[in-house]
Amino acid sequence: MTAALSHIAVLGDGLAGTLCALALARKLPNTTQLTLVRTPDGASADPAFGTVATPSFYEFLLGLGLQEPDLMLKTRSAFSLGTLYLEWGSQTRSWAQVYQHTLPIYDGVGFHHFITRRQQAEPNTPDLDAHLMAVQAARRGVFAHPPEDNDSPLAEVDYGYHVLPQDLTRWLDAQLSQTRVKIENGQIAASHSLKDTLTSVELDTGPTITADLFIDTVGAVADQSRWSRERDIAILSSVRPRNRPAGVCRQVRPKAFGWQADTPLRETLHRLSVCHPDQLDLVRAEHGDPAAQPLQRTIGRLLEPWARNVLAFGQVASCASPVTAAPLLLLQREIDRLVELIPVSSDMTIERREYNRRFVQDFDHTSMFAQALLQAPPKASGAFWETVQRHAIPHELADKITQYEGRGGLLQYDYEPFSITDWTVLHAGLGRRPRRYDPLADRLDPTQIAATLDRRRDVFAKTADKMPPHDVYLGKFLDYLRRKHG
Amino acid sequence: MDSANTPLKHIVIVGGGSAGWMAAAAFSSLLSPEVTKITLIESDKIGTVGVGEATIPDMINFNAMLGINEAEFLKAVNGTFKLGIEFTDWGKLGESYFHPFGQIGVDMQGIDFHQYWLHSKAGGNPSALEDYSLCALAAHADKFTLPNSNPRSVLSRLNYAYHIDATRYARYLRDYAEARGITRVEGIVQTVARDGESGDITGLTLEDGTAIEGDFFFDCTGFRAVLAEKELGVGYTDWSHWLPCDTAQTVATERDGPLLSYTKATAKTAGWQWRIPTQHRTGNGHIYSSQYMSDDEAIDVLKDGLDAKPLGEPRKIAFKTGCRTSYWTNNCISLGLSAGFLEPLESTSLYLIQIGITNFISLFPTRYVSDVVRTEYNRKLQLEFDQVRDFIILHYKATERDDSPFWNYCRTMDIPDSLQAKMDLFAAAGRVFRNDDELFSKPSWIAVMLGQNIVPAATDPIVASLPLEKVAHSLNSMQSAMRQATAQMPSHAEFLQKYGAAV
Repeated sequence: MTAALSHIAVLGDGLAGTLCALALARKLPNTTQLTLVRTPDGASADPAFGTVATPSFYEFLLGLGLQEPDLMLKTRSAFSLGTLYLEWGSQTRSWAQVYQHTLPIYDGVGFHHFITRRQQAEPNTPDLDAHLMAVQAARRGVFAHPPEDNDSPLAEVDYGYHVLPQDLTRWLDAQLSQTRVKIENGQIAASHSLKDTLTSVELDTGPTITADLFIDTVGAVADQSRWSRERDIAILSSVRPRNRPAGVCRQVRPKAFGWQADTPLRETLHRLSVCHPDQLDLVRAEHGDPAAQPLQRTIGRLLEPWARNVLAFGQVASCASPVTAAPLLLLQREIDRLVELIPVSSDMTIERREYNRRFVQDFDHTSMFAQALLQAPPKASGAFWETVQRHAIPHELADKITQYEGRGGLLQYDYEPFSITDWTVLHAGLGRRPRRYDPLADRLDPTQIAATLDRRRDVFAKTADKMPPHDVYLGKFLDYLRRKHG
Repeated sequence: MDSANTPLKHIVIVGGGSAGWMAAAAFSSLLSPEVTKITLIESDKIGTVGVGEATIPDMINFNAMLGINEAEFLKAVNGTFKLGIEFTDWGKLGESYFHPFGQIGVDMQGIDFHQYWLHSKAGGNPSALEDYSLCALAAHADKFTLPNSNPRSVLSRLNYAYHIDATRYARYLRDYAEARGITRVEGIVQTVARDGESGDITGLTLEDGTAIEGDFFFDCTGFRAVLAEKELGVGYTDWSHWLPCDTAQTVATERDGPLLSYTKATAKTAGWQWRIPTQHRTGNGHIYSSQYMSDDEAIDVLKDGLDAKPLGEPRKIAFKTGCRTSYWTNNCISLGLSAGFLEPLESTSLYLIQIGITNFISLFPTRYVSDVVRTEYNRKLQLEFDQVRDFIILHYKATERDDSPFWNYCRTMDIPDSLQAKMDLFAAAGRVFRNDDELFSKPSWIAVMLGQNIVPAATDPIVASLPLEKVAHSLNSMQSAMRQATAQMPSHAEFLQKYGAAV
């Protein structure tokens, strides 16, 4: 009989390590001992997590006993309606990749088919995004919490957050002190194995930590040799004060060197520049922060993040392009997956197999979304874009595109982290117009539908006109919270 | 000149059993006859397999799509309500369990209910898992009522399907479809015309010389697969090494005793026997493997397992479990038994037809079908067939029976990797494999795995740390609310009578 799992050690105190330790402390029974090892380099790869958290972050935090007001008060986080992709691709299109619950369905037929039908009759009909409440708000840079009331025009809107990994880490770390997690400090100097099992790690500061399961967020003990490699990138990341409103969306622009994202945070603006590692010089000038230290990463993932009793976690297990919300979304999923599959004994074969299966699926599915975006290169393209183009499109993505372009079909795979709505907004945003629409749409009268579409746009525009600018709303919201919480 | 946008002008359905008429009815409700004409060819000379049919809750969606009134439907097909299936002698001789529709218990704090139940059982709770299923409680009491859509009501935990007379069902759908402009042609297909270049079917000639041209074809000709196999040469994947039953003996009996609101599936020495209660008669069938039992023995088993007077002599149906290597080939889709056969242990036959129809509708092609559409259709259908297959194999594999060569084979056979992974995961700590859009969702897998004694070696560590009294308290209040709700329900027969049935 195998022994029960009694001790889990988390290596690294960056975002992944801190979040993982906190989640395990909040979810696992007290009989499981937990240790977090703070290493000097724990947070070095964290800028690669990007700055966008999707609407699912709200529920995720609640599950850990954390509340939105606390997040907003203790960090520089701001509300987010999505990302504005500006002058993107060879058609230099701009659209708001907003969060949206679901799109309306009329008589069993998806909303976008009615847009396609109208565009075929009246080519000047605006694209899908013009018909969404969130886009109207995003374009004006206004925000308000969607009400509970389902009849409100805001009911279709969903929102996420702009966050800074280092802020999140500090905030989560403060919660750790109220848990049973034991903290050790030091660099991992040596590790000891017995047969196929890692038994302990030795810190350069003296202590030796013996555990049944090691969660490695710094690459100290995990085998990182088997990495499915897409391409190398370099990242520059900076936060600077701002005194002008910066809207309610992250703005992403293509550049000759790669792409650049500006994320509005409370009273500050975060800039992320991503390029081919050979083109750092080109980036520095445009990045605008001489002090920024470049971070080199390889987009891709481990073939098997969980091997033996060592689980590679966070940036050690995978690196998704921060051009989408994938990095933080994947981290959330990693935490959920681990808690759900926490081994019941020191023989973790079964849990490991299922964990690895889902890991691969989740990563590959999110990576399709980034590929769909990046496969549309700007007119003038350099080394970064050439590298992206060289990576073959998986047939799953090719099928998605063909289906959409042909008949407005939306192909979805097993538990894809990006929803059908996300994909619809993306296809339309990239300028794809289906050659035909669902023939069943013809059961509804075109003039009636046209009136419905126009009415929607009208109501949304009027609603957005009455909403406060994001900065104003956020300021008032924080004032209210401070009054309420003292 | 036709363009890529040219709509289908003429859909031809060959065969008029459940599959043919379900397709005809669905298309007639959705397509305008001025744009797309629909013809169904059937012959009174060719019988349909149509025995008594048990269904699963998805049929409610199909009826809703057609805008069918439930009371009228039940009356027309002699239908009754079904809350689940009682399995007897599967895991072990002398044991039985219930696979209910709807939820079992209430999940708490994001953790599956059965984990709490396993924890409380280890602490001495004598109640079975199904004692926390409202469907199972109602079924055991021969009761029924419709679910309540308010999630706060305990009646929201109910879910149901139907038992119907399949021959009457086909007739009912025929009336429905003909009223909506479908043309029915009496006749038998003699020759098939194909396009020399694409290989697409362009038309059919009947025995009496009538020629019917069309641009899309449905093969609903049952096991004969007249278009798919005989004409297009589509292959068949044999699954009989996993599901060795290949023959059924069926007979209806008079209806006797209280009207059951569930299907019975009782394991036998070399197969199993169903009992499906419709309003006027009870459908019975013994499914077995001819390798392990002769027809005469099988008929004896069937007769021994009847609870009322048989109406006529048993009818034999032979089949080979498996599926087509491609469901949509050229401009032809196989639907129903021509697409594949999986024994009706979990009442999936009509469902697999339904899913073939709804996927066709959601991928609705023009005259020029792209490969991508066909590939996607085939991918989705294969996923459905594989998942249903795995779930059915589970019933045979998860057994301790060693009283016959048949069960010794099943207990020790190799199973698909996909199923093995699911069983391993559950056996370790009661975790259920995550798969999107799976027909048989978590509660179904849990009911069967626990019902057939795959007892997890450990419970979820998070639940295991909860105090037993607290868990027992939650479970007790859950169960008493369900018992109370069951006590207040009318009997199944009473409910049907009031619902406007033909009892």
